[in-house]
Amino acid sequence: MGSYYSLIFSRLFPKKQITLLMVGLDAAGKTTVLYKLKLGEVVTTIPTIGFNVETVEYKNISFAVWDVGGQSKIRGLWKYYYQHTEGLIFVVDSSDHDRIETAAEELKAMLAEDEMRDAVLLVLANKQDLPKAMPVHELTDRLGLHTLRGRQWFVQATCAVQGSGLYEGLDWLSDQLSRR
Amino acid sequence: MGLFSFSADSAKETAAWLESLNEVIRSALSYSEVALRLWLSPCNKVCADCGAANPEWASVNLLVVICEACAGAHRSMGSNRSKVRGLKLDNKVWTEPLIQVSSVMPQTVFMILYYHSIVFLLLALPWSPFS
Repeated sequence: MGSYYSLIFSRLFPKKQITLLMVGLDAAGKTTVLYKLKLGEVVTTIPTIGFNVETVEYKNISFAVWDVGGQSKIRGLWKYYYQHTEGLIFVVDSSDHDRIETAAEELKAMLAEDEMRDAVLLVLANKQDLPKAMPVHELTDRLGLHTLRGRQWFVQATCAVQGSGLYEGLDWLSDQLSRR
Repeated sequence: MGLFSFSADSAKETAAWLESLNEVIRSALSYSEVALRLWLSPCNKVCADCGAANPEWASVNLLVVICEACAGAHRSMGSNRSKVRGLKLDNKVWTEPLIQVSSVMPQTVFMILYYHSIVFLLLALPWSPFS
């Protein structure tokens, strides 16, 4: 009987599904973010060559999160994941001052793609625990986010190994995408 | 562009699919030029940390060649301590000077770059001859 009610409940209130694509330069912490959300723990990662995909259940929403490797040779593969992407999570190592320009260029190129025109953008300013980590306002500036037109975006400070900021990011994404 | 749809009946099958796809990506996009040059130096033929053969990663600030597992460990220390790049999957970082400095006696270069740390370490040791 209980399963009968739950069946009716799920028919009446079907779980919303959201597809997210998570990219960023290598060693930004994408895989750590993914498994911290999925398992609630920090896993020892090795560099991602292809991709990882997991579904994360949060607040009655099922997020399908695609985590794609960021080494320079494999960034050309990002475009094959654009289709059906509703939300883009761009992960940045906030302490990596040397490569913030490269990150900005990659982000800009991706947002210019036609398939990404409706995707909302969540930037995770990751590794806030490291010394000399750029704060949110500096990162926003250096990624040139203020010049974006017709795009909903948000920058969330995170520390994936401690788990701080991750659910705030998902909250923003679900807010934006459930309005549609 | 063709559209392929894969479906798997179990988590085990999914894992097998993902592993195969990742392996195809790795073999299709890898280029060996940098690795082959660095491996010419015998000390680069093994991981500087664990000794595994034919390491495909490197720390470009510490100037050591390391294996995939140790690359993961280096990355977890933060990019302020070790900047990890792939020998076969990063075509941007490997400039000619970096290849040369990495292939010619990396230990000596490491000693020169980090001599101050080594001196401090020697001074700090309880049995230090300098204290």
